[in-house]
Amino acid sequence: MRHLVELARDGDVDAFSRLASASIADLYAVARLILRDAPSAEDAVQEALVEAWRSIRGLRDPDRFDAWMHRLVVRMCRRHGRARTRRNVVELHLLDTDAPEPEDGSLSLANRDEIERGFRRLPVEQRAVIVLHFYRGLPLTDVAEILAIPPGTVKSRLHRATQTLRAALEADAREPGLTKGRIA
Amino acid sequence: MTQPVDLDRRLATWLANEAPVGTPEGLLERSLVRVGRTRRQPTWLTVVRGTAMGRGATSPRLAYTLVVIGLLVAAFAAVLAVGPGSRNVLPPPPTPVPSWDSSLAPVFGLPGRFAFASDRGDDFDIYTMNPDRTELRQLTNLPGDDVSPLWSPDGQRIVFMSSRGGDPRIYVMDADGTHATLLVDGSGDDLLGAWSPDGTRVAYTDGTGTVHIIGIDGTGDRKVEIRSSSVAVGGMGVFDWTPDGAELVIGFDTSPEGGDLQIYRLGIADGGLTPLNTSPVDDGTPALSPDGSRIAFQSDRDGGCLFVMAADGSNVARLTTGCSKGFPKSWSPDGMWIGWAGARRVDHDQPWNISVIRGDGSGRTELTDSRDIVDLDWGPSP
Repeated sequence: MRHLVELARDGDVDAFSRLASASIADLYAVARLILRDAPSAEDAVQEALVEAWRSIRGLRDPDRFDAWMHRLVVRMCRRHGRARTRRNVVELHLLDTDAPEPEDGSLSLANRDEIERGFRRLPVEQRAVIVLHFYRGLPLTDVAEILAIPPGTVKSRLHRATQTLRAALEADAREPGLTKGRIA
Repeated sequence: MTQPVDLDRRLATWLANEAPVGTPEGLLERSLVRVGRTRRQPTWLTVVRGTAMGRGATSPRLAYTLVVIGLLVAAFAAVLAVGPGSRNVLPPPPTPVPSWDSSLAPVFGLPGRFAFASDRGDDFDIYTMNPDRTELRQLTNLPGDDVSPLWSPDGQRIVFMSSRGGDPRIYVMDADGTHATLLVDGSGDDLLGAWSPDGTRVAYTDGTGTVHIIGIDGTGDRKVEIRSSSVAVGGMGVFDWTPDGAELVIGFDTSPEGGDLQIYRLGIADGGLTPLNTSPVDDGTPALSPDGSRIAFQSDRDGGCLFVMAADGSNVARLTTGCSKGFPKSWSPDGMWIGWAGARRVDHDQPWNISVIRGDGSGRTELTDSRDIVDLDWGPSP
């Protein structure tokens, strides 16, 4: 990996292609989870790779390539999250609240919808912290390094995000009749 | 009550379930095609911003930045030493280094001053500069996104959106970045907006799509009720205020299903709506010329791009093809030029640069190449 980064830094597009090939699945998964929208996630990944190629000469430590790429993807996700704010239509799904809870530890349909609804209410910055921490399993210090923000800020974003989610889940629990809404 | 550990587990499980397996077909190939068409940054611009990514030798640019920061810290200490009365004076952000290529063609003859947002740093901040790319100033640098700057008519103040306190709110500050104060402590879903022609009020929409007008001192917030039962309202945005102060130029989604943006004039006194050249496709991001006679707007009609029309919706004329969509346009103070920055996600080949074009469709020029600029507002020189 380190050698490929050094080659790409020197302008070797084949080396960069191999780096992109090795990392694109991870990057797409992160973008897809943050944005909750496949076309936007594809765009974010493409734009992150283009930006990486443009500026990889400035990556002084080749071992930081993976963290740096994630940072670029999160940055592009923030751009896409912003671009949609002028026409932000969120369709909420019809809930089958009578469906039985699964017994194998997985989430029920209603549970998934509750979390989905709460997650969509979070700004992209908070979604990114949640995805990097709970999906990628990164410690908060690594999340801070990827996002280039102080660890304290990561903690506060995570705290705020989980507070918002918890409040949303509890509100849903109090209003089992909630079925469909549109935020325009 | 949802317990912390339970929520953490549910989140981790949900994310694992929702994560895609593999990548969409052709994504890698499409990405690499775009990479192959992309010009790399010149060496002098290649310091990776932030903390840990740029470890290693200190570049001249970074050294310059450190010197500036050092000087500012010293200046701040000096200010603090003056006495308690000066302690609310924050140091201005350091003078930014342009993020675009220094070899860009020179620009002459454009009046006024640009305000824009850029994520050249680790979040969006607001900058101003002259249209010839001189006198670049960074106005904000607190953590959180500062976006959507709008010049007051006299060029002395700027309203903007900021998430510095958590959710996005509307703030106002002086044109040099000082005295930033919270203007609208709303729901976090508010959107700017436009200044009144006399500079005493600002129009914005709240999270429900309702238009508000508030005094620039934060008083007198009132709703402008739309008097119409014939249109469904969604995705509302206020984009401009007519020079006579009587109407707002707004855009909103007229389809209950979404996907049909149209431009209207909204009477402030009576809430009356006047459609402007409605079409079966999206029209949006209108910008009224300074004299109120013309409106520049984005449209998907006839292949889409930037159009102008008379203020009553007549005489629609195309200015460009193939430009970016979705971001605000802004006229130069003399009404000769239209500027914009930013590109929506669907336009892969449209970078986030500042572009200008004359009102007659001539002279289209891209003024920057740094791909990090959105929300251009073209105001008068302060």
